[in-house]
Amino acid sequence: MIILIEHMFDVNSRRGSLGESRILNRLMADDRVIDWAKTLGEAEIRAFMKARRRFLKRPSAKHLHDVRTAARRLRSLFKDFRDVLRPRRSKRLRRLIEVTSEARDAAVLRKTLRTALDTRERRVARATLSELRARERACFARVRRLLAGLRYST
Amino acid sequence: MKARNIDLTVACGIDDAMRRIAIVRFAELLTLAPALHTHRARDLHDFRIACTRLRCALERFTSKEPSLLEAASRLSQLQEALGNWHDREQLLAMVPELQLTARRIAIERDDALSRANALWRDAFAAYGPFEGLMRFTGLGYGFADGEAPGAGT
Repeated sequence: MIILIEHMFDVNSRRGSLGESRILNRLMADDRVIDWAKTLGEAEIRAFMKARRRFLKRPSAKHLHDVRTAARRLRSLFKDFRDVLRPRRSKRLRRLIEVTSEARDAAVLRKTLRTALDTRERRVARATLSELRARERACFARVRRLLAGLRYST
Repeated sequence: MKARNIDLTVACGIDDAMRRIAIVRFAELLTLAPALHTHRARDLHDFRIACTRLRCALERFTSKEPSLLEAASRLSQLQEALGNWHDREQLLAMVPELQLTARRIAIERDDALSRANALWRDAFAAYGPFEGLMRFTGLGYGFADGEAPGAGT
């Protein structure tokens, strides 16, 4: 089993990952695969842009979740189809995912702490809860800024 | 762990490309599965990311290959359990002074990891959620009957 897995990785790493060979790879790939990848890419970009519009119009925890999910799906698509699709704005996308994850973490940790909190320790926990709330708010503002500068056209 | 590059230039058609992507992402997951046994935070985090990658890929393919739907759904459950474990692990590092609360959070964290282990082990059962994925990729056979790769005892 392990040998089979390693073999799969070997087969995949035969080609270099330099920009030059990527361009060559795109030229060599099957047209049906390229068309399919483009269709998938356009669908993911549309979903991301829709989530982006909603968040910028009304920032909320739900809309943040949608932006984060759409951004992660788009990044995952660029990784899966690195040989046939040109990754676009990948650094900004990665940064956006990092900040939305920070915001999500702060919100979830605050909720989890409030739920698990022993009443005898409520006073001691107040500072941590406030810090998490402040972190969440700061991340929301950063997500807004990042989203304003991140656009895709299909 | 960085995602492996997938060579799609040699893929003959869409089905072959789908299979190549699924094989590499599933192989990544199988390689990282021992984390469920070692319980090392870094390894478990990598395993969770690998679950996300495979799930994203499978969800894209389910319209053409519905047999992958169950695996995608199981990966979503696994991700949730591992996410709960990760959240509690992070929280425990933040509240060392809250001893009573920390004890509750530690119990929840261990429960989440047990659930992830059970979900993983069960996924490889005959006619289980990974059956379609194993057929599609040709990987994962030989782990059935309670011997899922990396599953803790």
